[in-house]
Amino acid sequence: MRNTLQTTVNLTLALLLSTAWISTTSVQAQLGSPSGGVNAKAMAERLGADDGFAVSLQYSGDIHGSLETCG
Amino acid sequence: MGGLARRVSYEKALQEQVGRSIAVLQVDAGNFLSDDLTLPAMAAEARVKNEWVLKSFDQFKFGAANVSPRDLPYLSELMKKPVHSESLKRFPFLSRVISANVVPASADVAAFKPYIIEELRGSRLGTKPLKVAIIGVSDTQGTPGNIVSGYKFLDPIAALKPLLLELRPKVDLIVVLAYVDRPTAKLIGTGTTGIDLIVAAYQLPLIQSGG
Repeated sequence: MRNTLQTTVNLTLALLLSTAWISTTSVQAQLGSPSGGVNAKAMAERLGADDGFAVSLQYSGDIHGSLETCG
Repeated sequence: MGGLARRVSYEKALQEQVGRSIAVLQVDAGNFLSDDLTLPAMAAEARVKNEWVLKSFDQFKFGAANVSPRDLPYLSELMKKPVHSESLKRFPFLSRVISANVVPASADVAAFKPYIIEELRGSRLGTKPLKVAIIGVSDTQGTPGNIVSGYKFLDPIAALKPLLLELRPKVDLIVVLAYVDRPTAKLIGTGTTGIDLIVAAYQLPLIQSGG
């Protein structure tokens, strides 16, 4: 039970923190190359080694009707 | 459109990086619409913003969005029985706005779906799709009583338990979108069995307060 709780909390916090981080950095600056394509090195630094993951769950919360950067 | 545009750009960059071999699932945990509808100076602007959020979530193929009390002032206008069919035509994403515990308090408004099942596909998943159930729950975020904009809030855990029993044999992954504070998110995790992931949102107190 304790492990389940900790896993749940850790996952929840990890998701929250990752969103906060993503929302405060520019995707273009982080990932874009000068030519407008993907900067493979920046993506690799952000994602770490590709371990063969098959699914990416991306999420938001509290955007409160705003499509702009700061929610 | 910095926020959503950035998010969609991130998805595109990620897919480009992995040769479009993965599946991406986009979800929203709640409070995605403005509730500034009672302020005359802001109501028109809020409605326009909300329309664009619903259109954008549809265009960018979001899997689901969870109902929170702050979404209900606008959603309840679209969910009124006489206009519900027309609302679905205008905003197809409305069929992916979910809640297992926010239910109609009267016959005047239509019910939300309690969950959505998405079949994710990608070459890294092999030939068999990954079935993901997405369930939504919320609390009233301090609103007095348990009725907001014509909808009644049931206990989230009590609402989840039968759904988890029903869905667990049918899907590979169960994700709960929860608009609840941190202690309640923990209670949902410990008070149920069958959930693989809880994505919680509750504005700043979720992060700032202990629990």
